[in-house]
Amino acid sequence: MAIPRAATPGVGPLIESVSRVFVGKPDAVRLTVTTLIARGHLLIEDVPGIGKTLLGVALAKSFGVSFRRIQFTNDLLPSDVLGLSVFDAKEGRFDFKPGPVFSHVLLADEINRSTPKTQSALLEAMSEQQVTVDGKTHALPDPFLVIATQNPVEYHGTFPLPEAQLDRFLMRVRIGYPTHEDELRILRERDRPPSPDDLKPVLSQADVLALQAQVDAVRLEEPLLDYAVRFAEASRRAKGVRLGLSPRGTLALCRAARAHALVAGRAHCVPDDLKAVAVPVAAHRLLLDTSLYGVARVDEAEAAVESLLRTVASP
Amino acid sequence: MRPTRLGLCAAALALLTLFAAGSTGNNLLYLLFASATASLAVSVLLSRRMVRSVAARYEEAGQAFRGSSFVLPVVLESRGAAARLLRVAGPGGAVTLDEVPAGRSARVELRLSSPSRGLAVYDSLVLECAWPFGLVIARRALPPAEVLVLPAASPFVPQAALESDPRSSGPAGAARAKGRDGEFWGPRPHAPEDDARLIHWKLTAKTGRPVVAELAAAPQDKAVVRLQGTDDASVEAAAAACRWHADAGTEVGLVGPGLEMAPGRGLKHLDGLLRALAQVGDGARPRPVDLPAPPRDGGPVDGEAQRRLLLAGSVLVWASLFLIDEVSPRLLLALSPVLPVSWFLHLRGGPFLPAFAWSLLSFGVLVFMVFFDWRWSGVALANVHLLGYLVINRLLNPWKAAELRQVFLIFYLAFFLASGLTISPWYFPLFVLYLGFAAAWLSLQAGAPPARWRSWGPALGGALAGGAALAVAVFLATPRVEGLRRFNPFLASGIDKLQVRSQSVTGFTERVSLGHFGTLRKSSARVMRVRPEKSPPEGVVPPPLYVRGSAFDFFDGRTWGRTAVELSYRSRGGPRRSAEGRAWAWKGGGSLVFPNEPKDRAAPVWEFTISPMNLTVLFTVGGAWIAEGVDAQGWFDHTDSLHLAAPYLGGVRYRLYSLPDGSWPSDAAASARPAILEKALALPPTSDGRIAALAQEWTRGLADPEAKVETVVARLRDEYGYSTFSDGKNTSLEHFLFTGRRGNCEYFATAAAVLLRHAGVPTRLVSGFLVDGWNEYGLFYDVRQSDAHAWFEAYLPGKGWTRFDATPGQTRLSGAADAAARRLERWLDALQVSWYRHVIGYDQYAQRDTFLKLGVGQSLSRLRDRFENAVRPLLALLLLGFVVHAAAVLLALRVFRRGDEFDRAAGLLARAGLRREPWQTPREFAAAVKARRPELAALEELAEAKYRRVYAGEPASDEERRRLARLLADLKSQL
Repeated sequence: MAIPRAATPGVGPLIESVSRVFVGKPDAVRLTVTTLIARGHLLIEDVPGIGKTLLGVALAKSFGVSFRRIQFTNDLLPSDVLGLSVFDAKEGRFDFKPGPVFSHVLLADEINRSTPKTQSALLEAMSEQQVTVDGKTHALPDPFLVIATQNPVEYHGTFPLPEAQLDRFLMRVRIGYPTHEDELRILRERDRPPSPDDLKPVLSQADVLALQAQVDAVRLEEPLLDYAVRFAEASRRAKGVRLGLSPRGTLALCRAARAHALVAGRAHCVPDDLKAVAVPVAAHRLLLDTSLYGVARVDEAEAAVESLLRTVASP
Repeated sequence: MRPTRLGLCAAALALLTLFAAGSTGNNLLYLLFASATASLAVSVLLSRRMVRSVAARYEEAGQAFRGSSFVLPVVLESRGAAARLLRVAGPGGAVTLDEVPAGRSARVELRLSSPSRGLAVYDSLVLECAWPFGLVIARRALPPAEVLVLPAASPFVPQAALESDPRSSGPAGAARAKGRDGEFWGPRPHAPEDDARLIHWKLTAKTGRPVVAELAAAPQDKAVVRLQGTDDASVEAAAAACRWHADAGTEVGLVGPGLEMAPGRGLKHLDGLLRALAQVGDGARPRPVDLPAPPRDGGPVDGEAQRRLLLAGSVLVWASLFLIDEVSPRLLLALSPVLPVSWFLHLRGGPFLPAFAWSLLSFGVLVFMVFFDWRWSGVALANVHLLGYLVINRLLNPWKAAELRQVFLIFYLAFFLASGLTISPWYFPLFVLYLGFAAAWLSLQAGAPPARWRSWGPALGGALAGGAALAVAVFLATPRVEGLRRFNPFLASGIDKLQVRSQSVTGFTERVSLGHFGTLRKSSARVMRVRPEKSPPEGVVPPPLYVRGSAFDFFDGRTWGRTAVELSYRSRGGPRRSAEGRAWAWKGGGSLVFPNEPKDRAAPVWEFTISPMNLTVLFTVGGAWIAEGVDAQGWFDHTDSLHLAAPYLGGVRYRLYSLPDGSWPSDAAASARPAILEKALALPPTSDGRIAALAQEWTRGLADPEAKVETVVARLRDEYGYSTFSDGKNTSLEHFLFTGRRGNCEYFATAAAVLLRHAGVPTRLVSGFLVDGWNEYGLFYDVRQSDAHAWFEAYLPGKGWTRFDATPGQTRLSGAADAAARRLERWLDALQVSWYRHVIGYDQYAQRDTFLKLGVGQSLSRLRDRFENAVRPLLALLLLGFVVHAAAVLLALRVFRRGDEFDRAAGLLARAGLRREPWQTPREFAAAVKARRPELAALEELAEAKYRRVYAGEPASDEERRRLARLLADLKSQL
């Protein structure tokens, strides 16, 4: 499996590094890195056991930052995520004990299993990159990437993320099963599994911040802006779509396209960048007529975006 | 929007008809042309509107397997009026639908197929509409339809599988267990070892023998089909295996690269397996299906109703042949039994003559036409014979489905020929019937179901009415061009009823034979223009004008002529004598001065502008004194006919100073008057006693010549009817007076003249024009051929030669107070005159008049002047603007060309059949092209260059540009 070409120093090694342990899913790796440098968050919707945690750990290790994982359950409380103030008897004051959210890469596993209260606590932290506990605001580390996962198979005992909160995620991706050969490769390498622990940081934290800054400088020409707007308009008009892409969605689309271009080693966007990120960026923001409990099924939503793309003329 | 073959034929025939009409000036051909054009226009408008008013959506397609056809249900919904004659066409298949009722929807099943499995995108589906006549097909692209095409799962039995076939392997009963579970396998006779509980009692009761219902046991095995690779062969093998095992009732599961399906049973599970397999590898990517389009017209349409309609149409066409004067009606009548015979043959289906007999006959007829008929009958008549033969030939031969259109076209040609060769008013009803026939037949041909004519009939009627309005507009507005007549293949072939002969074109002759005016073809061709020097005040329509040509005083019972009377007269140069009856006028200063100078010069002055003619007659209004502006010498005679020494072949223009009423040039030769009056009293040698008796009867008790004249004129006007019919045989005066009692102007004039001569009043016949075409815009009288007229002058003592017109009014619809039958006759006559005047004689002058009357501008010339004045300064500016614009466009084109090799390549590829879909980005397009034609990989580089230029803001360097140009050239050569 070819490793994606990446010309910008930094992104290439990062992808290469992650791909070393996360085998056979270059697209998922690339989209994850894209999300990271676009300062977004990632929602992975897939069945258990396909390496979501591995992806998060590998990413964190690759640029030498902290990684935490929270298994969301229905009795998880906001303080379990954000942290809480504990009374320090010795000092005679409340001390803030930061929760797992205070890390660079946070894996929120099965986020739809927790109550909306906990979900929204995390989502607020995600959008504002800060946490307020007991009237005191604590800034979250930078860069900050949340990788949340959802299981598309089970709906019992879950609290599906509402539309507004899904909007906080820049992208929703599916990882999918490895191919036959890749799975064989994984099995063969069981003796000496390439563990994330073996990974050496290939980028510094500062490099990642610099990359994030570069995203804003990526050139996005007028025809492409027009294309993005036309796509959004088409999604609002389309049959079978109850709720189209919001302006925030269009913004996200452009930001993701910029990051995608940067990952591909370009300092300018091309129409293919927009098309490449359209499905992961737009699919979870659409509300289809067939949506259940306000949540569109992954495959249906993705098919809807694919067919939408076919109705919009490319520049 | 594209024309069908019939539409192309119709357009070609319309052009042919226009050409024929333009070169002969025949308005019936213009009428035919207008109808053809209007039908095309109506087709375009209606089909476009209809195809736009229909919305289409797809329903879920059934199971679609690669390589075999499947059904895609398409729901068509009419948002406006009912939509008819629709057709949904896709790659490899099409389906027609004859009606979608207004506001409702209908469902058609489009049969499609796909050469490859996976997500097939049918993006070339189109909706077509052929309503109303099938001449034009409007098309609209339908949204692309996505169908998941399953891999072909043809049943195969691999050797290995055969060994473990639960149905075939092992001893009977080993692999299938009798039990209560599983599917029904079949009945078999009861064996002693069978459990009594297995006996199928119902069947046992039916057959009378114990029967056991055997059930196939649900096999305990599970089969897991393993997909070897993602290529088509492996997928199809896996699909076939899945199906085979599922058919055998095994639980089937599936594993493969990126694929895992739990084992399951049943057709629904099999469907799931096949769907998963369809999307493996390339199948997951939507792929456009590229198949040859279905044939253009979908083959000839056949139907009993069409054939019957054609048979009915043959009657119409046959009837139209009767309108051609040159064809003997007796011949046509003799051949008419062909029609019922043909109906009999077609409805019974035979027996027809064998084909070789027809070939022989056709050969014989062709030889006869070419070598004899053309020479004997002339081209026009021979053409009629040929088409008549063709019609008969087609009628007596069986029609294959493909030949129906041919028969229809032959009928059109026959009707076309009839239109070119007739001017009869009976043409019009036939024409209307023919239009109805043609419209109905074309609708049937386009696919309208004959059984439901009540549904589409009214809509067709509406279309016809709209078409008729349009046709009238086209007929009125088609410019009539005189110049075209010079190049005249149709004159050569004889399709010209307004044949140019010097006499008939002017409607004027030097020797008036009875019946001449009747045979004269009515036409509005302009003969001359007469402008009075003093125009009447505005708003006053001046009375009709008698333009005097020649007068005749000798009548031999059939023809009017002149004999010479020598005159001695005083002219300006002194006393003169005529020679051979020709009394020469004094000529000086470009003027001809005739004798009998008026005392007061108050008589009106006229300006004559006469078209070129082979005539020497100097037209006047009453008696004439001076003709100013004439080059030639001129003379007059004792009938006061004025002539030039030479014919004015190039036309002539002169000012005429009239004499007062009752004054004539011959008055100057007083000595010859007894001789003149004697001649004007001479009776025709053949005149029998009946005319003299009639004259006696009418003028009994009257002494005053004027009273006699007025009585005769009044009785003629009241008791006789006007008609332009003339069969060329019963032309004698006696026949007019005592038998026919209807005729044209010259019969009236002749009758009056002869009757009055019997009553002792000297008379002479005058031929000329009676003009009521006063043109209030041009302030002149338009004298046309159809204005040709004859009247007479009587010599009244004390008044001299006085003009009388015995002809009754021509166009009064209810002028006569006669019996109803007579009135109808007159009405028909008037109708005929109107037909001639307004339809047959609608030429460029009449056209201009019509437009003036319709209020399209006060005066075309004034309008033109104003337009030119306003436009002239603008024209220069426009021209300058155009040049600048053209330069800018050229410049932009060059810049554009230099910049975008990719777009030019895309244009080249589109022409080669590799079209870029609108949603494809340049890179995707390049990849798609490369996938289909790997040698065109250079397109990818061009796409990248475009990206760099447009999105990265990096214009190509000169060197790179040269390289791109090379790539483009390579690409071109590879295409």
